[in-house]
Amino acid sequence: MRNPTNMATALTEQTVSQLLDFNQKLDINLLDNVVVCLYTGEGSQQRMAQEVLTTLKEHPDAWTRVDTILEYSQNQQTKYYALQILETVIKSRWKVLPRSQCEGIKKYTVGLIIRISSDSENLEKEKVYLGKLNMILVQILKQEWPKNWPSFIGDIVGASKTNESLCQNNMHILKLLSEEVFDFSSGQMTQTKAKHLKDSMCTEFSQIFQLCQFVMDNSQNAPLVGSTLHTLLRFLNWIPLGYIFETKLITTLVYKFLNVPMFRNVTLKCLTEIAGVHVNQYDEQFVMLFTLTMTQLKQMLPPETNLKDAYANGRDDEQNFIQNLSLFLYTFLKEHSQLIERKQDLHASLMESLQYLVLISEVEETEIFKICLEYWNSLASELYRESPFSSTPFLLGQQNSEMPARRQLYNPVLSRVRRVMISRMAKPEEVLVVENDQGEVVREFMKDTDSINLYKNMRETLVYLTHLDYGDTEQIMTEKLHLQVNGQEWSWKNLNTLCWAIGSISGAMHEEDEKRFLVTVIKDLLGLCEQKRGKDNKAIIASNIMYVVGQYPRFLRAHWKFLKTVVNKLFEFMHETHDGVQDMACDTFIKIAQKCRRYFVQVQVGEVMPFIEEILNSINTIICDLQPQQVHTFYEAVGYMISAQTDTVVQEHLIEKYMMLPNQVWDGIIQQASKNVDILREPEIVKQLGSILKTNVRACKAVGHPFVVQLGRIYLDMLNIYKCMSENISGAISTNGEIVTKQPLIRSMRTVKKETLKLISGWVSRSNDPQMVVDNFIPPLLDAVLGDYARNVPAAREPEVLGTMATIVNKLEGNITVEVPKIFDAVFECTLEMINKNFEEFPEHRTNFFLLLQAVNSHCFTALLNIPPLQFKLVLDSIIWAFKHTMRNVADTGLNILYGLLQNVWQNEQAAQSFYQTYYTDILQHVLSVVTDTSHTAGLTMHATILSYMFNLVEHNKINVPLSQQQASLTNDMYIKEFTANLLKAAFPHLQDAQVKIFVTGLFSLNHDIPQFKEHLRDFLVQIKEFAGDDTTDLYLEERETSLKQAEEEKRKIQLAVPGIINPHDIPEEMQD
Amino acid sequence: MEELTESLATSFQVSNIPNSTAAPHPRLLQYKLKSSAVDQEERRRRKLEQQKQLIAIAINVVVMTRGILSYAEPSKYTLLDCIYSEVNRTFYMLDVMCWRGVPVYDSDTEFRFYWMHTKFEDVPGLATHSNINPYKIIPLPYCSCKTEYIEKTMASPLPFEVQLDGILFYHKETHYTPGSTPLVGWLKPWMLPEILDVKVPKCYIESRPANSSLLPPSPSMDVTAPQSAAGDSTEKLLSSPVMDIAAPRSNVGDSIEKLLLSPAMDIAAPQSAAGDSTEKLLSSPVMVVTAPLTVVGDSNNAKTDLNEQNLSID
Repeated sequence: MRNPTNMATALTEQTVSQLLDFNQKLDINLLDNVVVCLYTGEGSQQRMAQEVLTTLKEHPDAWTRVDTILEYSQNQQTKYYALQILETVIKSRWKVLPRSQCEGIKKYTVGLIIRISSDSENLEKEKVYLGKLNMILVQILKQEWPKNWPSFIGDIVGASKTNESLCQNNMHILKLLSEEVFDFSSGQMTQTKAKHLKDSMCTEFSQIFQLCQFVMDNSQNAPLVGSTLHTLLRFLNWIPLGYIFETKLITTLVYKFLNVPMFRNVTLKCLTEIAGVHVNQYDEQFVMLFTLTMTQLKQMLPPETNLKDAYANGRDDEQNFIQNLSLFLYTFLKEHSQLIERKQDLHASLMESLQYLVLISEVEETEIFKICLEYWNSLASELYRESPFSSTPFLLGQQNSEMPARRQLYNPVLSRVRRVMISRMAKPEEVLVVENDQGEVVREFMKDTDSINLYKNMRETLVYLTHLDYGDTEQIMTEKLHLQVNGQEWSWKNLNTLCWAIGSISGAMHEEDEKRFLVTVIKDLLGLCEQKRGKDNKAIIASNIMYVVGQYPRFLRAHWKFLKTVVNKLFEFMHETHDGVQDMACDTFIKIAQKCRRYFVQVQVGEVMPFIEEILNSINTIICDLQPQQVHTFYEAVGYMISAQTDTVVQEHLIEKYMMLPNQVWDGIIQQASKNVDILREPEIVKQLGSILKTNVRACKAVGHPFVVQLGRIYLDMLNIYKCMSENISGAISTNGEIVTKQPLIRSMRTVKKETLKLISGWVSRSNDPQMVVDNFIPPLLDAVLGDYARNVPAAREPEVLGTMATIVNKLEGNITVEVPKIFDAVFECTLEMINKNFEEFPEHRTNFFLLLQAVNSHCFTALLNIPPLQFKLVLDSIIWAFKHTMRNVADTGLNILYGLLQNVWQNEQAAQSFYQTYYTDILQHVLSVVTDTSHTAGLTMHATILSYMFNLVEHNKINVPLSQQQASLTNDMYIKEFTANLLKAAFPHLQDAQVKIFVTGLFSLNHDIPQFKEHLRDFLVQIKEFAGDDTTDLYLEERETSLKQAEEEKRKIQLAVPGIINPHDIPEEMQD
Repeated sequence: MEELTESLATSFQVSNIPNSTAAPHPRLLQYKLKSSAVDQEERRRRKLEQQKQLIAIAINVVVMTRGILSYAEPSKYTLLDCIYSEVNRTFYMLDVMCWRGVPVYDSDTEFRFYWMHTKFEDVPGLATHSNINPYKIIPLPYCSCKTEYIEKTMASPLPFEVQLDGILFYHKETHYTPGSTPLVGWLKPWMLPEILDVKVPKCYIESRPANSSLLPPSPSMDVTAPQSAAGDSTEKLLSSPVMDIAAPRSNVGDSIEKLLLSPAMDIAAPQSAAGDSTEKLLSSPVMVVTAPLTVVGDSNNAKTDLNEQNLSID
């Protein structure tokens, strides 16, 4: 390789143009150098290299150089580059190449492959290159086979018999072909074509199968056998079942290959595919599959093997085997266990297979565990549903003490499964400590993580298992608890796991048994806490105790004294300085408050006042050591209690007392500010305001509508502060630029604004008297907030304003229609200006803007009809702008708004017709443009829905005004068909007329069936990627047309069944009375 | 469950900070932990309901299991609930279960006391030692539960020499109930002024031990020893409105009318079936006596023939 400095001189304009001149002979060395430069060069040299190579690749004649490059290049990367060129031409221009050239490429590729793969050393050395060549061949096959290459299967099978390494590579080719046709065809080829190829492959399969059998029976060549088995694996999910079940395939796999280390993984995978076949026949073969495999397995893997250790210490290959084994057992047992259950003499085998599964369930690998878990879950739930009674022998008065047969069979294994579940219970919650936008460090509760889903599945499984025999569950848990207490299994992790398990079965036992069990558990845990020294230990145990009690609200509700003691203890813990204890106390407190709220507002036996009063009396001493975020949680918790008080007078008094502390501070600030407004710029004051508002937000969340007494108290002052903060922020930005928004004080001020809006929208969304809200709370809000939003510089505008407006519209619905024009005047255009320059800026405003639009469209549509036409056009433009985004949520919202808008318009007869006349064709054009843009395939369903709706409108003559001034005597239906066809032809000139015609036909004949309509669109997307050429047989256009006609017939039949759907003029005479 | 709650409240901690202001005062819990989830009124009502459904106790069975010899016809014996004083070889009658074969278990207190005292007078010689009567049987004084009556009774001499240990309060409607019952209560003499506003002679007030609380006595308590720690299982013992310190002083004459003075009595012995074995009969009458003692024999026949095995004396 030449050194870079020499290359610097090599890459000049001149040399570059040389490469692109197809009249000259190609300078391979030069090309090699350019490629090297691309991969190893830097800066401008690399850029130039990239440009050249890209330009060269896109040249329509580039492919003519490929054979030269492959032959003479010294550089592997260059060869791969050449193959890329070849692949592109095959995929997109094949049909416009002259036939002779197609044949030439075909022959060349085949020849090259044969040359390399005939020698086994070469086969190994050139593996990557050969793999790419194989792929090229398959792409050619997709174009050529079977029509222009009917002998292909016969040829490849025949050639395979002559040379073992050739055979090995041919197997690989067949595997790739199988994948392309059966596994990856959707979106890559049209439906019709895919069907044809599948049919062809099935028809010709017997030759391939014979070849495979021949290799399996006779070959001593290990790599060849391996390749064959891998290919067979791909075939198993589509070949006709006779090949699998009516030949000796299964026995060969089990006897010959399963216990061979090199083949066991692929063989087991094959057996798993077979086991997964869902069919009503071949019972005997399935049983045989099971028994033979189990026999073999027992020899390979003694049933007492410690699989957990084996996995931990094993090589990749061994680990894979264990994983494959779990999949095999899972698949087989899920589909066919009844076949084995029916035969008494197979029960021992069944138990052995389950024993394996239990052992695998102990392997420390989440993905494997999930497989086992799914099986245990389905088994336990099935057994329970068969007979929803517990098997615990101590259950008194049980009529039916005879355990159902299936349960008896599985009982021993279930006990071991219980043990596994309890020992491995996953963590139920995940808390992330993050920094939010305001720079505050907050705890976030994650909702949908992998770990939480695992917990949910484990919990469900253990609950079923407990229903099946609660005594056993209890016994295991009690035993493990003892092992904690006596130190044998003591560790933080083990204790946590055990307590998560104990907490997970809440409600599964009868109340009396549960009580007894819990008393024992808590007693033991308390003893453990006393026994252990050191705060670390005690804190962990305390957390676990509180976690367990928090999980059993039924128990808490039945024992007031105990509940009260728990809560008081939590209050104690709220002063504990050791790390994490205060958080735990607040988390548990809110959990208990939510589940037992009633009990805190009613006077309990032995008490003189409701406990809430006791809390409120001493609230400041309880929370005095908590951090602000914890105080907010505390307030939310107490709010739940207050929400349970049904007597409004009492409740009001409670709320007053409840908010006394924050109100004191609030009043103080307001008072000071009325004397000197500058204090509102002091960091401490602003922070306090933020915290007070957060308290209010959380309190309101819990209390709901009745919070109105508090909200009313602070409302007007709060809005004034809002205005102040807003002006401060705006002023600061105007003076110092946008950079000032990063400063802590400005961020705090933003927090105050945001929390104000959150409080108002939170309360409104929970209110139950829309008129009262509209009359009293909305006017001051709009006055304070709207004008301010409009006046602010864009960087200072609070996106939460839009969110709040959306919430209000969604909640108050028609009641707020009258204010919509005012809202739009203030926020619509100025926000649109912010987001219509590109798809990225101001993401929060962007999202909220469209949410507001959606709300107005859904609930205040009449307001939209009444805004001036220019503004309405802007609204429509913004909707179209929305669904042009590739950002999923914005695009989806846009599409939903459009669909809703169309439906709303239709309801409004007067407006509808003029709407269609003005906007129908524009909308259609824009939607078609995103449909045919492959970067929007995520929205395909919605696109299909909207288009079919629109086409329905014209098809059924719902639009009775002409849609265009140029349509002359054409009906709307005919005009739109023509309009669409012309659009598409203009946009995709490389398509044939016939293609476009069929596509447009389908748009109408399938518009009653959204899934089919969707696939029809998908077919079109496949077609536009390729130049169609003159030979359109590959498109099976005639066939497609026939099936579309059939669909149309179906549609009419359905519609005829509904009187009136079809215009009487269209009904054939004999069908009328 | 109670223990659990207590344990949770007191010894459960993360940091061991004595006298932490965050935790409640350690002795707060000693303040009257109510064991029952149901209040007194309710318990009384329930008990009375229960009585209405009581089946007459098979006395014969009792006789058989006790192995008591009866020289009278089995159906003609008498069962009395007494306190025995060994020193004086005297049985002090508290209550009656059966008289000459006529069971009075399910008669109310008013009747039983009347019956007991009247019938007692019919049998002369019971109250004195003689050849045929080795043990004296003495009825204990009772009165209706009004302040003046109580004061009068307290001021009068008592039919026993030993120190007065307490006053029993019987619900006038209750049947005979073995074991502890919410329908019978017990106060020490020196508690009367404070709780019931009833005057008692000074000697009783002076008999109050130092540091004693106003809690009802416990079964295991030695009256001469200092009062045991509050918060014991005394709750199981008794419940009468006068015992509930937290509740306002109810009118003494309400539902309770009969007042029986007894030297020492523990009604809270864990007895369930009538006629269960007598356990600890202690030698000194001022000591707590457990079970009611059954006196078997036809009391008409003044020679009360008592099988020594009936009495288990610790």
